[in-house]
Amino acid sequence: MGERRSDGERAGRRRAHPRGTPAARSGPGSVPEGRAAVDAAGLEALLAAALIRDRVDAGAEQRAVAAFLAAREAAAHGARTRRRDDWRARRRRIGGRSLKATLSVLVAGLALSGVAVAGIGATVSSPDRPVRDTGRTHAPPGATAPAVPDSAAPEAGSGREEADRPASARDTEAHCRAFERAGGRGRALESAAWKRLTAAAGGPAHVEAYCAGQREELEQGTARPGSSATPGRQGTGRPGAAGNRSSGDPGREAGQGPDGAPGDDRGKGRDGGPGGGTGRPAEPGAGNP
Amino acid sequence: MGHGGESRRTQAYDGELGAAVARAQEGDESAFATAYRLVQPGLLAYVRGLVGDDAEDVMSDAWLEIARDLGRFKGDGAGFRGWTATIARHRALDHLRRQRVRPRASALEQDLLDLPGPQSTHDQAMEALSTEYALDLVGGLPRDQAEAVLLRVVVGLDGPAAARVLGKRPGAVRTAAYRGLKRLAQQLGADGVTDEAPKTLGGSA
Repeated sequence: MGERRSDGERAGRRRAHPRGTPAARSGPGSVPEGRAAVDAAGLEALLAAALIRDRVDAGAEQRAVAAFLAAREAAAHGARTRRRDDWRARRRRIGGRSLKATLSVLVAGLALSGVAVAGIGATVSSPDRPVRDTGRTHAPPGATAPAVPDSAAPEAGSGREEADRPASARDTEAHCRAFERAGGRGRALESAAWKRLTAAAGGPAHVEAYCAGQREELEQGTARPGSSATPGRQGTGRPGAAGNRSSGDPGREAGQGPDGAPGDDRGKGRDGGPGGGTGRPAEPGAGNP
Repeated sequence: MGHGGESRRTQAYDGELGAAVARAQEGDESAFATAYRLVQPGLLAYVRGLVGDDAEDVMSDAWLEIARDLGRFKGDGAGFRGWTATIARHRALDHLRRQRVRPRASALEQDLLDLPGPQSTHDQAMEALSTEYALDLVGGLPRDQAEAVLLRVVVGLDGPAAARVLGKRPGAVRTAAYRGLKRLAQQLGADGVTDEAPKTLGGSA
């Protein structure tokens, strides 16, 4: 304490006018070169040199050390670290957390778009199989849709394996419907199926017209609604539902547009038995007992 | 990042300080004394800006708490400066609360009449600032600017650390430090400062 006081006097405590103050400090950078060339660093150095008194009061230091020893004796130094005591690289931790969040969003997005693609691919696949299953499905397709997905989901999965065949009119039609549903947005439009659709249409701008043309063709095929309804639903309906189911809640929200669309029965109701109209009359025919 | 505004003086000590703190946490009292000598001058200067002549007493209280809670602390030398600055600030604010005095008034009022005229400041600044004059200048700033400047200049904290000590957002503290330094530069008539300050402060974001 006494030392500080004398130090303060030395630094000009009593002097009213700083002009008479001796340049008592010899800290680093305390005297900048040149009169007008004080930059920000120079100003900070100037302030630091003026404000910091390097000499430490010995009595105060001894008291601090005594407190340290007392705390050591009392074994207080094993105390738990509170949040306010943790000064480890805080910025990095925050960055890491946000990075992790970003990554998980990214992964979720990829997974969902994968589901969407799988849903589209699956619509392509199954028409061969469902024909045999028509017997155990219920009459009005639209009404049964919510009840069936559990049993039908596996079929969608197995159906995918048969998916690699040339794009047929039915594929195109399903893609067109999904395209409408997605409203031209979304990740699904980047998938391979979309590329095929746009290639078939002759460019992204023509997809809508192309799809309209496809629908017209289909309208002519709606003459046989009864036979077409069941296989069509089997083929296009389940995969979308299965995709939603497996992806959980976020999937239902984000994936609804692109992946639910192709397989959804709503499309069927509007188009009136598209399966029958796609130039595959043999299959429904065979399926009908 | 973050070191643009730190005083070189404190930066150079950080490695030594971190080692001393680590040894002190294992029970080495001489290492604790070393850490004390490394951070006390800057903390004292900061607290003096808050409470004026009572800074020594306030820091004594702060060191009791620092010594007691040292085992809780986790971090390196720079972190130790931030941690101790937080404790010192709390003690200073407690002191002010007891006094029922506005923080900067205490530093301001004692030498209010001694403030030099603006004509004399330029020549004086080019040589060296007296402690009292520098305190007066900083004490003349708004409270948030004064604290931001002090934490940066005399304690040597970077933007995020100063923000944590003050319990504010880094952007707000950075702005306050920038404005405070700019104002000080104008008062000192140092022409180059206003141009340089944004760059340096931006580096501490």
